[in-house]
Amino acid sequence: MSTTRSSFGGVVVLAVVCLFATFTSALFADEERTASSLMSANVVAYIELTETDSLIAHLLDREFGKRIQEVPALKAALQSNQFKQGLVVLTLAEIGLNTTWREFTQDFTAGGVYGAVEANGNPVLLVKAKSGEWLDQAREKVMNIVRTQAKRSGNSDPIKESNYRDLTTYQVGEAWLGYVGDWLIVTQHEKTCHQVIDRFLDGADATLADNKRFKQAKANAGENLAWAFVDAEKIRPKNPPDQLKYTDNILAEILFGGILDVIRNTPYATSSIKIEGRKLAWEVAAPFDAKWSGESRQHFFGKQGKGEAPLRLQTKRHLASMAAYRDISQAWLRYSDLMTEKAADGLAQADATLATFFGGKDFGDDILSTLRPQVQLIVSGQDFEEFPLKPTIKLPAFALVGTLRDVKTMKPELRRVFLSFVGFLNVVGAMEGNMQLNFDIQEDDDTSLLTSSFLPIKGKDDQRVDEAPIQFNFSPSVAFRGDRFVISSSKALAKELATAKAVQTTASNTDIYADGEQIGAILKQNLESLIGQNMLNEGHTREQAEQEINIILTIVSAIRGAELRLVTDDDLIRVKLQLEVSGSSEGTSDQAKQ
Amino acid sequence: MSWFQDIDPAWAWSDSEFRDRKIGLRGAAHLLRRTGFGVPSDRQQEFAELTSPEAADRLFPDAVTVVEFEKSSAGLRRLVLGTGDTKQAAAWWLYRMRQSPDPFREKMTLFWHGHFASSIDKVKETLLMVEQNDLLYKYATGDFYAMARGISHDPAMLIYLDSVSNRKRHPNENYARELMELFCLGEGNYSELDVQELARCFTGWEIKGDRFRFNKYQHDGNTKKVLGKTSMFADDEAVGWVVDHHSCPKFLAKKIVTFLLADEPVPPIEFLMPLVDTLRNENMSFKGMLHKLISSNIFYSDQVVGRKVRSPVELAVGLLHSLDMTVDLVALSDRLYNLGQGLFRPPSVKGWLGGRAWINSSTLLGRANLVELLLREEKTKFAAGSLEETLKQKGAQKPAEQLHWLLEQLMAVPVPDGVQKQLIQVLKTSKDSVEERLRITVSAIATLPEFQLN
Repeated sequence: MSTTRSSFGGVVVLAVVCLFATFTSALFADEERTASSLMSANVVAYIELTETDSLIAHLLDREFGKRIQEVPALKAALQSNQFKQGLVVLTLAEIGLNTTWREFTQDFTAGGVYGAVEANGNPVLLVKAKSGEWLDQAREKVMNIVRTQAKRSGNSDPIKESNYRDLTTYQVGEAWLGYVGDWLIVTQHEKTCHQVIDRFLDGADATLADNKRFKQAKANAGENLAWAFVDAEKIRPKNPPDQLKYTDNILAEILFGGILDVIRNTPYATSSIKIEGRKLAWEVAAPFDAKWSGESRQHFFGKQGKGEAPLRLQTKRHLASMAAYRDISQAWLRYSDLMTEKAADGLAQADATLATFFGGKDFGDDILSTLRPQVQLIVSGQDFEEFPLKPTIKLPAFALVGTLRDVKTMKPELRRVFLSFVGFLNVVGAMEGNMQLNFDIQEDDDTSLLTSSFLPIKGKDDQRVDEAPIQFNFSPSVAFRGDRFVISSSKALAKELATAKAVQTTASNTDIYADGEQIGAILKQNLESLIGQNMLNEGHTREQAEQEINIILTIVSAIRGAELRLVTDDDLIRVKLQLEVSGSSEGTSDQAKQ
Repeated sequence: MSWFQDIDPAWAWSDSEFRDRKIGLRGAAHLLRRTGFGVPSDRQQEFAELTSPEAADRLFPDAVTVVEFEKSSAGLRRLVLGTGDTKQAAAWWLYRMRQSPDPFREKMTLFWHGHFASSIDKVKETLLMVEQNDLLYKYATGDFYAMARGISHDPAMLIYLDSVSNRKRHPNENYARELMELFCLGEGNYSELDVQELARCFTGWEIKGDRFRFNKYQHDGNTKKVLGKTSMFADDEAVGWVVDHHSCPKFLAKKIVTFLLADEPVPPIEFLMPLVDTLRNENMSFKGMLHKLISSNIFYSDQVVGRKVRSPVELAVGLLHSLDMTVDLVALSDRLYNLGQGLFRPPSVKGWLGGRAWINSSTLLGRANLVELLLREEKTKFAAGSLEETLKQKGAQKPAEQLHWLLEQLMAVPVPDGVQKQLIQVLKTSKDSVEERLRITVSAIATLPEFQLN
């Protein structure tokens, strides 16, 4: 009995999906009707999937999907009893429909799947089938299956029929279904369903297709697997809250500050997804005008919004990086206009402290302003084999790379500050009984390298070389080469970055990159630590901890790399994410060409 | 009047009552609570089939039994030292208490941590606290001479007692005083002159670079008279001489009996003499004495069962063992500190007072809240998947069976019938799911006065 009910439940779920395709009428021609012309002018969000067949192929047959299916969580889900039950129901349905589910889906969604949300929150789903005739036949079959199953299970007819303008509409659970031409309509309210039918039959003066922002967005949309539109003007409050004006810490301001101005002003935003081979590209775009930021956030976009990130420097064990156009000096000096009052108070205090540290010089005006507005933060793996004392927890090194405006003046100044910094750490360390830093200078014709490294703990002769404390990950250093200035957590990275060459990347305001293989490598280096942390933080046994950590490693190893770019052009701002799953064939297009 | 006085010490410390019969489930639960943390039901079943001497034997597993666990623990230890974080070190020790196949040794290490108290708050260096823990663990059920000598050169101990430097012109008396008063002899068994003379023996002891160093130039090489013996007392010979003193085994036996048997009353020394003699006869090695104690008639007697107040560590780790749970141990270490038993952070050189000192109106509420938190936290997991499933696997499915099982695992003393009726009502009539009802019941049990007893 329970099996029958379970199967019935599955079939009902399937029916809700399949009923999208069950109703057709050959009475109406709809060549001139597009999904947007059937949607209300009040739509605030819209999404379309016009290449469903291709999407399914990418997810199931092609490289991208195959790699994703190897992710343990998904693999486990695909082997779960629930999934297997679903497959049984699907097979039954396939027998009933005399077709495969894939063929069925292909025909059912041949014209695309379209969803929208109206300003009042009502959702609308439209599906355009292969043809009205096909939809009619499918409807007959699915209705028969659903009703037969209900009868067998002793349940009443789950489908309630009614009539509107000589068309039959249906209520299944909380959904209203209608059909007209080769379109299936699914709504939450009867009235919404009727309105779509009216638009189809009569046309309408004001639909989503007539929305000028939608028109403009659609004109810019290329070919995508999925495309979405949000009418920002309709959803944005008239008086934007402070959260859309001010940030609450300087790092957030530097990273995302400019985006707030876009959110507060842009009339709409679009989003699209493409998959090519092992790469998934996701893009969010919105109209952009550099004037929106005025001068206050010029630090983010630069003059006329033309600020460009420096070319990404490549290291041997490049883990992650962010190269960006950011005038940090300007951001620092304007903080009271950009940040919440509390955050600005905190920065005012920090400003005073930093002035003391930098020998009375103003941190924003005299120190930060010596850097050009192109900066990059680089995280890189370390070669621990070369470490005399290897830390138990192995951390990557990180560095900030900038370009000096006035090398002659600033190089000695920054050297002095670095020396003071190391001295300060040693004094504090001595007071606390902590390790001391040893200072060293290496000069050649082109590069100056100022390094510091922790001295082995005096008296601890029995200290094992591969069980050093976490501090041994760090050897704070700075490097100067030409106008390039590097401040790094490690000597090796400072040295490497002083001469590192740039990767050919397309111009952007911000370029963030993460390398899945290197992240996987650092995780593997720390496998024992990760397992240990899991045992302590979760109370797990070693076996349980190993299992959990292996899942994380498999997920990371499935991703070869990810790139996120913020690009501005004359009238658009785009956030482009490219995710590449790992595989055996050629590498990413923008990989290092040193 | 102490009930000890009504009991014949010869009977008390003999194993005559259980020599030829099994200790049973209740006896096993009592033994496991006192010599470990809580009652893991598989171990309870195993021990229930043993006589008291056999059960005591099994509490001293050989090295082979613990070798795999020690390997895994050593990896964790490296990680903890790599972070240098004391909270992680406390979590590591909690992990050992929860997972070790030798819980008695962990329990005795906890005892010695309270006895030779040192705190990270003053020592500052996690490595030193962990190394001190290694030392205490090594000798926890073994040689007290070696332990006393080790602790006398232990950097954490000497830093904690402000004894990092002891020069012949100004002998530092701190360590000498504590060695006699708190560690070996107890008050009244030494004179002020003994302290001064013992301090001279320890001159030249220094901690440099977090390591013990003997500076021969600062050592007073003249003869000293300590506890009636006149000698040069080279190296740590004086430590051995203090342990040799007749008061030492009496002092230690009293403390251990209070820790393992009953918080109060304090047993008279005459009552303890069989244990004292065993300790002395075995050259201050604890194994024989501990074996005698935990296989004795008095250990399983009504005067002893449920006569101790659970320490916060016993309460929390005991719950994890009894219900076969795992939790965030780093967070747990913090909570135990808030309840007065921070590992590596005893409150003073006297360690934890224990007994009734664990309980006041604030800690009582805190203890109940701790149980509630442990049951509710997102990271909490039951080995069987859920508490309901745990009980199901133990054959407890009906409300009466479930309550019976929970009370047997969690309580050292019976709960009054009236209270049991109220608890069964929760399990029977609440509208919540079975899992929720069970968790509510465990939380309710944790608020009972009887739950505080071990």
